[in-house]
Amino acid sequence: MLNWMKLSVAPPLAARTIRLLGHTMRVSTIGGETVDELYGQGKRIIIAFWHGRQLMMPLAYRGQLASILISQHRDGEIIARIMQYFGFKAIRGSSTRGGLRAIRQLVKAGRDGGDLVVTPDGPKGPACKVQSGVVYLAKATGFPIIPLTFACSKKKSFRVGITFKFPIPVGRDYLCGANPYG
Amino acid sequence: MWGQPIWVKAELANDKLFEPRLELERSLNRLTAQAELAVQNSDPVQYFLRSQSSHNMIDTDETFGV
Repeated sequence: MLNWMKLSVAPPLAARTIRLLGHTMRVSTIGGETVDELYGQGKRIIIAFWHGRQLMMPLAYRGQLASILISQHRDGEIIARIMQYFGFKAIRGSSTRGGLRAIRQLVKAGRDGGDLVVTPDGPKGPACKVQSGVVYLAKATGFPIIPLTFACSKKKSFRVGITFKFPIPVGRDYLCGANPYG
Repeated sequence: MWGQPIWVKAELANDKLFEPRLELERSLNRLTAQAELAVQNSDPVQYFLRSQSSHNMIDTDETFGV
């Protein structure tokens, strides 16, 4: 019953919560023109952001199709299902489990025409320390790595593996990679 | 907040891969610090642009393996 709740009920609720949070905030974007220019040249990209800042990132995506690397941990399954509501394809693996196979799948997904999304510090951390997988991915695909971050004026931090930033609704300002209303 | 692209050429030797790795780490930490500062202001974009011009914090495109 608990598993059913986690895998069937929680993901759509979480996806709606993220969208709702996005709609309660005033969003500003900085640097998005860099990505638009690359898309204009027909290039695909690797988007990299810290694991602790991933919550609002689905709203920041500016492209058409992306595959996202998500750990094989059981919590990763919940995140993978949430990401599906935003149109992302989940590829499961991390530096500690299934990493090589996941990198191969990501390279293939990139060659098939999509962007790639990774959290370079991974779910187990150490937080804010880049692991080598993202660089191998960039070398193998030839895609540029684009760093992405967000900040919000009002937030609550809590720990799920590593510290996670959760925006409080109606924050005065919220700064991230894209305008979700755009 | 988006940063500047970091390119890794296919010819870059494996023992040099730490360079783009460190550049990405620096870039993400710098962007995050800048974003955290900017959102404390009533107009974060203007604040960011002002801080860029006064502290020369503009990121530059990095290519490794040239």
